[in-house]
Amino acid sequence: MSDADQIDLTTCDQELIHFIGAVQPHGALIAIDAKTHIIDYVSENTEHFVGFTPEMILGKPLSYLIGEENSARAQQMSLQPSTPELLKPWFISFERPNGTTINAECLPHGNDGHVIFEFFEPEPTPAPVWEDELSRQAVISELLKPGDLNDLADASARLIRDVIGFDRVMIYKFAEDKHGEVIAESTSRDDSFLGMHYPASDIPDPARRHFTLNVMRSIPDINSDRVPIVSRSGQIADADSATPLDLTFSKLRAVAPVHVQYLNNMGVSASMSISLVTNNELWGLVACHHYSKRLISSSRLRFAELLGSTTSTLLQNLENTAQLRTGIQAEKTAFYIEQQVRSGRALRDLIEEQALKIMTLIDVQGMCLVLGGAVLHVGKVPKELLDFTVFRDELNEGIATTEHLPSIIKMNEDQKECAAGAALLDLSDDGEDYLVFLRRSYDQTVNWAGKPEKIETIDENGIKRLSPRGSFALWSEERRGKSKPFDAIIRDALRILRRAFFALNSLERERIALDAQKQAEAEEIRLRHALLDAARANSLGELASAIAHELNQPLSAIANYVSACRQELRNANVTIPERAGVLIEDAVIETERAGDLVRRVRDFITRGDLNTEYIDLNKVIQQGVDLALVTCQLPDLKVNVRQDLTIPKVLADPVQIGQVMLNLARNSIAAMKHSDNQVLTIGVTQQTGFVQVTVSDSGSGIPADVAKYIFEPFHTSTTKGMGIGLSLCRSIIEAHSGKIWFEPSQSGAILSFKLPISENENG
Amino acid sequence: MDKDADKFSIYVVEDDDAVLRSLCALLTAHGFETVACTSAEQFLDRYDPAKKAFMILDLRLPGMSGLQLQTHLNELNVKIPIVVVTGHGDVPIAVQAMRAGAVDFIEKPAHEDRILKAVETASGLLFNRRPALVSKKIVVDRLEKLTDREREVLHHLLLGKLNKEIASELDVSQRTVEGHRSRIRDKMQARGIADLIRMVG
Repeated sequence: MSDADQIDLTTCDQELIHFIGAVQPHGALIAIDAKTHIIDYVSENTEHFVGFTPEMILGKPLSYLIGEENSARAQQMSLQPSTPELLKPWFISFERPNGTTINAECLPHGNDGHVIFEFFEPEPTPAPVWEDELSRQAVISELLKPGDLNDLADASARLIRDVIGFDRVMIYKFAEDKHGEVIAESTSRDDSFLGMHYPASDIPDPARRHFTLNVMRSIPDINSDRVPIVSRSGQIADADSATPLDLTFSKLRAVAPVHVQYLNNMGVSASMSISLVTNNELWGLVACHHYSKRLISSSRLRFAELLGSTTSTLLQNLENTAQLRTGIQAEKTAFYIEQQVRSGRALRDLIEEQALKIMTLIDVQGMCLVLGGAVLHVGKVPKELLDFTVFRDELNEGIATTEHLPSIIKMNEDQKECAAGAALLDLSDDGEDYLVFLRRSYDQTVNWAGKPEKIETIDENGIKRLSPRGSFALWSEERRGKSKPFDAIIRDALRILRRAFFALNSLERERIALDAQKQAEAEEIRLRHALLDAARANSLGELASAIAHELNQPLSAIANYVSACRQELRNANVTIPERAGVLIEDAVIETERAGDLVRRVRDFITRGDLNTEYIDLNKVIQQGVDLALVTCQLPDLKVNVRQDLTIPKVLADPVQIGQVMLNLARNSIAAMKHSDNQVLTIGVTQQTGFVQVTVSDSGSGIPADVAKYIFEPFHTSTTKGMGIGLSLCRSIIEAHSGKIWFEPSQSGAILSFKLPISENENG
Repeated sequence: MDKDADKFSIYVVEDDDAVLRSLCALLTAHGFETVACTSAEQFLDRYDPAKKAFMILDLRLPGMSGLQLQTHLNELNVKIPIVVVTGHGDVPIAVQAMRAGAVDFIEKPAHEDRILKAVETASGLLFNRRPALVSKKIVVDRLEKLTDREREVLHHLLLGKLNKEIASELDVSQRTVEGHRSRIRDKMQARGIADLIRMVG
């Protein structure tokens, strides 16, 4: 709280203005005890208005003053205060002691065990206000027609000024923080207060309470002398006396010194105000200023009061409508976005698409959307992204708003300019996703008027007092760097938007998670297919290679035999007939041609180069094992994969090595089919210059005579395939400049292979 | 051929029975003495260091492989000339064997002339008749006749790569590689890869 606020609180708030013990001089006050009807209090100016001096009537019954008939009538009146209460004048006549007739306009009301009668001079003839056709038309056409709050306030100010003829009529609207803004003005003067803001302290809480309870206040002459009210004991009935009189509902109540000063500082001589009260809350104020004394006739006063209360009701309706409209617009936008998201569009794109509409709706200039790790900026945002972490502490049901963000998080000048105020909408439970709306500071949106003057003055008693003239400056000081607050209407709209966005984001997150899962599954399937394809292609290539090798043997033998045969004939001195010689040579050539043919077929089928890259063997081994387990039909199988996470990467073809692992694991699993104990252990270890993979099982093992041939094609022992699995493994491992071998074991079989560690990658 | 004066044996190490018997039959028909072995282990069992001999070794053997036997013999400091026999597609291994000291290599199935030529090379060594070494200068002269592309292909050939691999690596057709190979053979005056390895490998 600023020092200025404190000054205000220690003075105005302490003043018990309803115990001021005095009235303004344009009327007289008489208060009776509600039960005994004895006159307990009178203002000292009674003689002028009712023809009796205070001494004459104090302690006398009311009937002594106004006669039996009037007194009886007064007792029948419903005099308890009600708010808001339209003025109900009683035009009264009674006789003075000297026999002349007094005609007065009386406003009676009951309060706190007393009935207070306020007497005014009657109007010579009632002003033809309401009766005036034009006024009626004006009220109906100008006041009832506007659909906009500002238009209505304008019309109201204009009409009231027409009726009371003041120099200036302003309509204040109080914000949630109780500060006031002039939303409409009708004036004959050159200067204008329209759009100006006043701090909440301008109308201290006691005054605010009085404005709510006593809606009409007329001060025809600011600087008139106050007229004291005296009690039967002769004391002035103010706050210092033993029996003060409560003037809460009095129309004549004298003006508090601070208010006199306030108005004087503005050069105002006469003032009138009508409270705009909705739902027992002070919504606003019609403040009328005149720069010379001005007494308004009762009938005009009453008409102005009627206009004021009509305006109140209409304003409330309009405001409700505006709130409803904002809410409906928010719902419409949320609904549109929801529909689009459900039809597959991204929430982020939609918020971006609707950004300007949303920002206009909730009256902000910038927006930051953090969604799914991406940041979107729209409108006026700081160059350097703000960290909203601390602001999150303010979250209440997923929403935090502030009109002064710099008091919550640390900000640089640029950030302060764009983000004086902010509203944060939480879009996920984990705090990862959120939407922030930024409001610039009031400095940029409000037209400042006047220069700051002295904010406080010292009165004759040495007490610091607020100079109302400086209030606008004070307000601007108070507001510096702050934004327009996020009011109830906007907060409602934010709630609507947040509810929709949060739900849609949850939905979208689920969808993304599901997609990711699907993608992972698809990737696994693709890998499996790649491995199986490779297996098939490799098998075919290996088969072709094996056939080529195996066929080459007999072809070689045939060529050798034929050549040997020819040589033996020569050795035996048999002259080979020329044609027979040609045939022998043809036979040899044909074996070569057959060999060539086999090679071509093999070359055609065999896959080309290895697609090597630096791979993490742990991962590739795990994939191979996993793949083998997919088709494994041993429910009790235990699998241990002992990885060494420190191994360097090796230059190898991941698909081919995966293939080797798949084959080895499959062989092991097949060998354990009838074993009681089924354990498959795969170890990855590093050795000097190599990474070694060892696959051991608890299966039937491999007999020594078979072990010799297991890496040869077509020597099937364990598998029901063609018997080229291990031969293929050897081809692959050797193509990687590695080695594969078999070790005898007490139980089961151990097959190992090792791959060289490339020096390039691992140094 | 003056066989009596230059008496020697040929160990034939080959796991395929038919190949082994037919090769021995051919060599015998040409008057050579052969010792048939069906595995590396059997060779080690039967080998008599006292006899003059060389070996025709199939690289693909069950148990101890041809290369392993060669390494083993090198370690034992057994200086027996080795002619390696390979199936097509095992050329990289054959190149490895050549680098490890094999004197020649034959691809299966091989023509009689090719086999006899290899025997001549190997037996020549037994009697210090080394194959006429082509002088370094001549090799350099021949190499200079090669185009850049041919030199590139030669490099791949010396690494023991297949035509198909070279074609894929150079992004050309196999037929083109075959053309390069034939021109390299002509320009280098080499009968085959074994000659090339001897010259520049």
